[in-house]
Amino acid sequence: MSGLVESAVAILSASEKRLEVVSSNISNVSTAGYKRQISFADLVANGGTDRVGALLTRTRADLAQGKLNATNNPLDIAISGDGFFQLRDGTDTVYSRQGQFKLTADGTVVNQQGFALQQAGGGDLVLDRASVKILADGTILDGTRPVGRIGLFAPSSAGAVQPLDGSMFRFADGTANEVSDPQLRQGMTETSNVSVGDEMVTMMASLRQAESGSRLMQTYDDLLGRAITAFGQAGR
Amino acid sequence: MNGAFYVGSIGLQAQQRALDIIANNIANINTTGFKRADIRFSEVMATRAAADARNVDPLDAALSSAGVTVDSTAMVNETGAIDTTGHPMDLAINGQGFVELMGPSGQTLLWRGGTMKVSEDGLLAASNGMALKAAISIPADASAVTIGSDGMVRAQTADSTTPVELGQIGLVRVDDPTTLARLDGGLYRADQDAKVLDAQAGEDGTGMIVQGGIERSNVEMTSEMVQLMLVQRAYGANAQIVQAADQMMAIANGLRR
Repeated sequence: MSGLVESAVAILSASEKRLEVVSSNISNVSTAGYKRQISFADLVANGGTDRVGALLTRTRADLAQGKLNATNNPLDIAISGDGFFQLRDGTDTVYSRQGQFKLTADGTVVNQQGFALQQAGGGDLVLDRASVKILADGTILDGTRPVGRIGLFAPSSAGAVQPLDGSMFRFADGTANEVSDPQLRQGMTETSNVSVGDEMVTMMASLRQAESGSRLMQTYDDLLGRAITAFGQAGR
Repeated sequence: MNGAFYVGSIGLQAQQRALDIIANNIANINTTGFKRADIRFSEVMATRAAADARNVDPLDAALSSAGVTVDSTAMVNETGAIDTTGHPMDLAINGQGFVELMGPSGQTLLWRGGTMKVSEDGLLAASNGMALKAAISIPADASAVTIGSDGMVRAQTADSTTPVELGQIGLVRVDDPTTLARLDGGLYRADQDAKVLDAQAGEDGTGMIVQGGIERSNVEMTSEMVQLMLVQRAYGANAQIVQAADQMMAIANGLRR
């Protein structure tokens, strides 16, 4: 009997989670380098009993390439094709395709969150000025003098990319291989790959899912009510 | 509590701010020397335990997003088109340099050029009355003031037959335009940590000084309109999310009849 209640609760909470994922996708529809999150249901078996297992809503990132959008900002760098920028957050290394950088007071190139961009051979990238030329392979020219090279990194397998959120990632096994043929585009950003249509459909689906969960709950409540009435009359 | 409510409303706020920035760009499309602001969205992370994030199941690790934030930077490095006015006291810079002005309380302000005048104490000044830091004094009897492309100011005075050199307008270069704070009237103030380098006109991308010209704004109507439409649609989508979150709560509230 109570399995019905558990199912209804699982459906309701799963639909709420799905709506939350949709909401973060929609709010980041204009965020450069954002990769849309896809939610999917996962039934976790419950130790061989015949009871309903917990319904977990999980997410994964859709790493499809976004469109490139020209901004003319010298430190806006978009990646065309494979690879991630390597960023240093304190002692931690994270990866991102969000290429909107700026200079700090000491010339370190950092992203919007303040994480330092790493060079191809490792180490923070430090520039004298923002008006540099960045070639497609990541080489940075100050005038005609090369002053560094931005590295692009890829995990050993595509499945090793773990999203920390929509725009920051970590590589599961910790190994990052430098991309042999990086394609960078200076003065451009990669738009987010969120499609509003898909998100609206998911949103409607999750609302209907919630409705069906609530109907299940009400039906159970009805049955219980009827049972109580019937037993009450029988016992009179 | 349903997070979609909050994320949706944060999304609405961010799009609203982006709309403000676009509105300001379009309002200043005919303002001389105006530099458009560029909108930058970035994601806000709610919680991210960096230390133990490695141990978390990667499929559960997501969903730490808490919406979006918007930021803007003035696109100072984009030079606007220069209109020829023929007015001898109009000044434009055809590169990325700035002219330094003396602010009312002695601070240095950066100026992209515009109309100049001779102030009450005889100094060459911007039309807002702030004198140029180069402190070029124009004699009362001077006529035919010319400014060379290198910034050299010459004028014909009564007691000489050839033009007299009165001083040179220097330019400064700012390496990172994001360290500039935008003030009213086309003025900029460099942050404390900004690198302001003295340069001569024509050096290192600072550009030459153009007399009798005015720099137009670098706002492009078409790209602003496209941005405007995108913002409008994104705002609508975020509103839909808030509505859906509300509907979901209504379903929960309607469980007990």
